[in-house]
Amino acid sequence: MPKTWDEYLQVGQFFTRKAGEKLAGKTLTRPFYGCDEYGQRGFSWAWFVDRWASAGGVYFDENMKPQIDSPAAVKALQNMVTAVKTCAPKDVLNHGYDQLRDALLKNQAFMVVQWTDVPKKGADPTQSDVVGKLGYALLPGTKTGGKIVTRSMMPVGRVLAVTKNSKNPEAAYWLAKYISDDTSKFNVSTPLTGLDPYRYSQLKPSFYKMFKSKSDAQTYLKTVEGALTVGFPEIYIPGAAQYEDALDLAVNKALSGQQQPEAALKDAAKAWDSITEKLDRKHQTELWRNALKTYRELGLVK
Amino acid sequence: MRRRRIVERAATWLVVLAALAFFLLPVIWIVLTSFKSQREVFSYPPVFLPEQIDFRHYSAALGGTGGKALKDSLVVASANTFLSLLVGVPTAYSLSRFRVGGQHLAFWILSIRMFPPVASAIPLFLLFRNWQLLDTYWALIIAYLTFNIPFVVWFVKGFFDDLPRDLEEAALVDGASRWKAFTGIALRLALPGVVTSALLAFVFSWNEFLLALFLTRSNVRTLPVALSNLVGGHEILWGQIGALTAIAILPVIVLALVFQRYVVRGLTFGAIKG
Amino acid sequence: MARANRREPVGGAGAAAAAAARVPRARHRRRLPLFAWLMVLPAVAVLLAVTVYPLVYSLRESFYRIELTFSPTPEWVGFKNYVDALTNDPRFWPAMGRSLYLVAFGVAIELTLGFGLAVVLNRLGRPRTLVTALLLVPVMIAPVAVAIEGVVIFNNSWGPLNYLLSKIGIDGPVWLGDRSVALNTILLADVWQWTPFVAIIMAAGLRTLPEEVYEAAAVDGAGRWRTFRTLTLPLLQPLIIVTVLIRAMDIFKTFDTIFVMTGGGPGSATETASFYTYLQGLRFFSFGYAAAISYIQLIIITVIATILVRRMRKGLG
Repeated sequence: MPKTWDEYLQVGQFFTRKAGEKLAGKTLTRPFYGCDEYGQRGFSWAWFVDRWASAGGVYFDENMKPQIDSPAAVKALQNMVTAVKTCAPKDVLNHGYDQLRDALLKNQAFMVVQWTDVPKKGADPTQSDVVGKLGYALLPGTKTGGKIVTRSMMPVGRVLAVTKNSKNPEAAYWLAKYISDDTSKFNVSTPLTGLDPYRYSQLKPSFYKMFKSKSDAQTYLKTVEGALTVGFPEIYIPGAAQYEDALDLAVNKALSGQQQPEAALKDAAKAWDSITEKLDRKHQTELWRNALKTYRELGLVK
Repeated sequence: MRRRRIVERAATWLVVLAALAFFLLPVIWIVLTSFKSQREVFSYPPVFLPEQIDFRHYSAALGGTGGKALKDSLVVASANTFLSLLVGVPTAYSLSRFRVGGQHLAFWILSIRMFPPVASAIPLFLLFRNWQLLDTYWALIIAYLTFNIPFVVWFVKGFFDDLPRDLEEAALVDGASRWKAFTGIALRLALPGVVTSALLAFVFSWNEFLLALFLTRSNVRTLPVALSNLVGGHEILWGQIGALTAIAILPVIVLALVFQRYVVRGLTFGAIKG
Repeated sequence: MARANRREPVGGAGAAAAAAARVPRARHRRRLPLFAWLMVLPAVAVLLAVTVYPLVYSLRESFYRIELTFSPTPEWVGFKNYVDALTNDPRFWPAMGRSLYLVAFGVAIELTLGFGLAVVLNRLGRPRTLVTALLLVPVMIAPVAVAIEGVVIFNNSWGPLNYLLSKIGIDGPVWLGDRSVALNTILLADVWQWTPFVAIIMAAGLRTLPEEVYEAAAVDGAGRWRTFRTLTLPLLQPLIIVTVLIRAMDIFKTFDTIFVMTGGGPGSATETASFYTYLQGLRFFSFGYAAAISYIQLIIITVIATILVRRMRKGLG
């Protein structure tokens, strides 16, 4: 499995074969692709952040200056553009969650960056053509200072909270516990949901019966745990939807060839600035500084 | 001469068959999907004829949200069509015969249809929240009036415009009231147009998605919303979507066939005289 | 007055003259009967209550800065939203352009294909009613369903469409993932769904054209094209105008297919005015701005519709 994003490209390109060529001794009737990405507009920016964050990127600096047009960001986007051009299926730009999952499970792509629910489905014969043939690894990273640093972009914010003014705080608490602890074990360990494991208590191999062997489940869960520790949250200050859409548009424009990565990211940075202005720069900066502190505490950003 | 006839016939049928193929193949595909297993949906080469034809997707869809969705859509569309006609047809008649409000009123009524529905979604949401109508049938019935009344008015007005006034004037002279002239004569003669507008208004209500999504949640869930719910974040139930789509088409087709005489005659618009 | 009309001779010319004579008299009636107003009142009242409220509310909103994800309090900004949209927003005008592209080509294609189909339909004898009913099926499917299934059908790798195309040797395009094709795919979906609607209206209209006039023209030696241009089109003019208007307005509002099939992409290839308005209003919750661009769209569409109607009236005779 590739350890860096550059290796990712090499592996992807190596495995990309046209119909009629040979792969693992068999002649292909259909083209086979080395990789696949979330190319559809709406979330393609997340696949960019996977790459960029591993190179040390973070959305804004302390003064709310967007960092998405930095050289590291451009390089990261360039990596994604190359992947899309050289080793991904032709309609990658229409690939959302489902198409991406199916690319892997229907044996169309060699490797795919995906959420942790896909391996569960991969082990389920009613959903997957590649049962028993899947391996899992942490995302590729970037070599920084001799070590390979990897980051997993994470949508965040799914929390249950009991409000201060609740009329039945205890009942609310027990309900929250029931959902996020008692029943969650079953919800996250079945291949029929798209839920990803998110608590240590859910990482027991015996829950994940769809895997062929316990060691298989172990490998999977070790990877999940690893990914959780390098989870890189999305933007969670006000205006997140606007920032993310602007970035997503830029990423998507670069992927589709509408704009060069550098120009696209510059436009996005400009858009980010105007969003910040629109929402009140002082307040936003304050909120972001708090968020940045958290990123730092988690060791995600220097 | 005969040769030319045969060639013409053949050409006509060729075009018709091509048209039917183009317009119906996707529909046939959808219906076939409703019988496929989850795996068959995304396999390659595409599976056209499923291995087994069983109705489990249909029972799943109907048992799940489909049955209620069918009922909800039926209620909303029927009530809305009825009200749109009730209000729209007399308006059309008045605009046609008496030119109430002149060009301006007529154009204003049509222009309402031009407003992006996205923008009216929020004010409607707030309005219905104040009236405690959110997530009720009335929310949609009323909301859909905004595009169906203008449609009915404009559509039916064309028919009334085309009807010469002699018969009504004659009836008036004979002592009939204006109301009788309207219902007994004009309405009767323009009935094909009215029936057609009813069918189309029904279809527009039946298929509406954005406002339904926004103004209702759980008590009321129409077919388009139920369909979109089958597109889960991490799983798309293609079989059920096919089944529900097929189910959704049926009532409309039944209506169309029942009124086909009027529909085909009625889509005249009769506006050749302007 | 009415009595006198009734006694007039009913010859062809006489009736026409009488009809012509009646209409001006109707127009000069100064007091409209109460009846007339009563019939219109319910419609106007309902429409006022349900549409004017959203329209006025949106108008009011458009003069405020409303960013719900940031603060619940609106802030008065006057025309700033409008100015920003028209001069400062790099996404607004391209979005309008894409919408107008869809409208222009959609209406043109549906009108042409629909008309051609109508002519052919009228040549059928008995099968016509059945064929008509069958052709109406696309119109009756919810656009959402069309869009959801479209994702499968248009899939470049597994979709049945490209599969069938490959069987006849055509390398199918990447319908939804290629930025030069995606918008046309949305166009195709609309053409597929609504051409029958146009065709059937045109077919019925053609059938009501009076035969005598055509016979007279044929006797005069007028060619097919000339008859079409000088006779058929003018006679069908009102029908064509209303059909064009209704389709134009509906194509402009196209949302379901874009939302489900492309999400506005690839890049900004399918980000139309309606989709952009959705983003601003229901994803970003910038209600004030969304309201402003809605009104700009309303104004632009109304202007275009008025111009269109005038040109069609002149052009079709």
